[in-house]
Amino acid sequence: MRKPITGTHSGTGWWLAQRVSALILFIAGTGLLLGFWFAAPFDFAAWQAAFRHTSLKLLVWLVVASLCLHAWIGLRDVLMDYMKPVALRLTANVLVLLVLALCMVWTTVIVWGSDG
Amino acid sequence: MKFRLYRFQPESNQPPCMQDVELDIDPAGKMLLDALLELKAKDDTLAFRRSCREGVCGSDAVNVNGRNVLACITPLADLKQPVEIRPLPGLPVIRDFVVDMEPFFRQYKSIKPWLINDDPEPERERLQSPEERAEIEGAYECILCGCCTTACPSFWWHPDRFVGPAGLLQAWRFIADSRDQATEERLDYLEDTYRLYRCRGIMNCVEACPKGLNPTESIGRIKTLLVRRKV
Repeated sequence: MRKPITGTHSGTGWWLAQRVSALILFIAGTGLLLGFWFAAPFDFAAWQAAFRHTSLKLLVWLVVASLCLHAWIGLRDVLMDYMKPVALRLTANVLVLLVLALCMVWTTVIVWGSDG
Repeated sequence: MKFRLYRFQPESNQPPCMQDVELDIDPAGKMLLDALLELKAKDDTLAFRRSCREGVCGSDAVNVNGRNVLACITPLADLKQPVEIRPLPGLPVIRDFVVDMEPFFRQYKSIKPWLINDDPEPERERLQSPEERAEIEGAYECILCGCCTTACPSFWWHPDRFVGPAGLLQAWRFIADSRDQATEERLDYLEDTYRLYRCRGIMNCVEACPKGLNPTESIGRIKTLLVRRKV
């Protein structure tokens, strides 16, 4: 009986996530930039008023989340290619994950926690 | 013409070095292999592989002025002087331009480059329609010279784990073949962070292929099948 040798079955999901996050970044990021561009000049009160809308909060959060996911997959790939010692690569991976997780927590606090 | 040759003679215990050589040769109508043969006639310690001298066997692949080419189909007149000739990058050098192709062929072998079909053998042959035959156009023509795989940085970093463009092109050749019954098994093998997904689509392979094939496109088709299977 032939014993099949299979892959880790882990690449496709990450590959897809990288493309989907890039697409979100492009569409939502461009939308946000254009929106702010045409709404300018913004004063502080207008800025605060704009961020009371849940849709804008969600959009900003989505863009940052996509950026973090995209950055994680990209940096993981770079580390996989160039950092051969496993212990060092694992440490670098954990550091990158920590920084990105911190960015996400910070973004959540800024977007959802300020207006009360 | 002026040449700069990568020289490595393992028995000399000297590190590799570049050797400047001048050759009295008229480049008109001649290929790089003609110059190499004349260089060897002057210095028979120069080592390189060659066989068919018409771009079919794929044995005389070398790196010339930074690009992987087949010496026998590279016109001398097109080359900028000094013509710098090195062995294919990313593979262990045995001597001068002769590299150890074992890592390349190990990856090639890993994709099972043969037809897998458990049906009883037909009396004459396994037939294909012209449409089914057209599916393997652009994939079966590979001559396994190694120009593409050794131009790929992902293969340089992971020669032991990344299948490389030539191997993946051949994997697609059998996945696309209507007579092959092991598509799922082949996809299972390839769905791996290292084996397939080290390819970032930088297309060095496409630029290097002396037969004008497009491994990146075939790799993209494999990825499409994997995504369809997943979602």
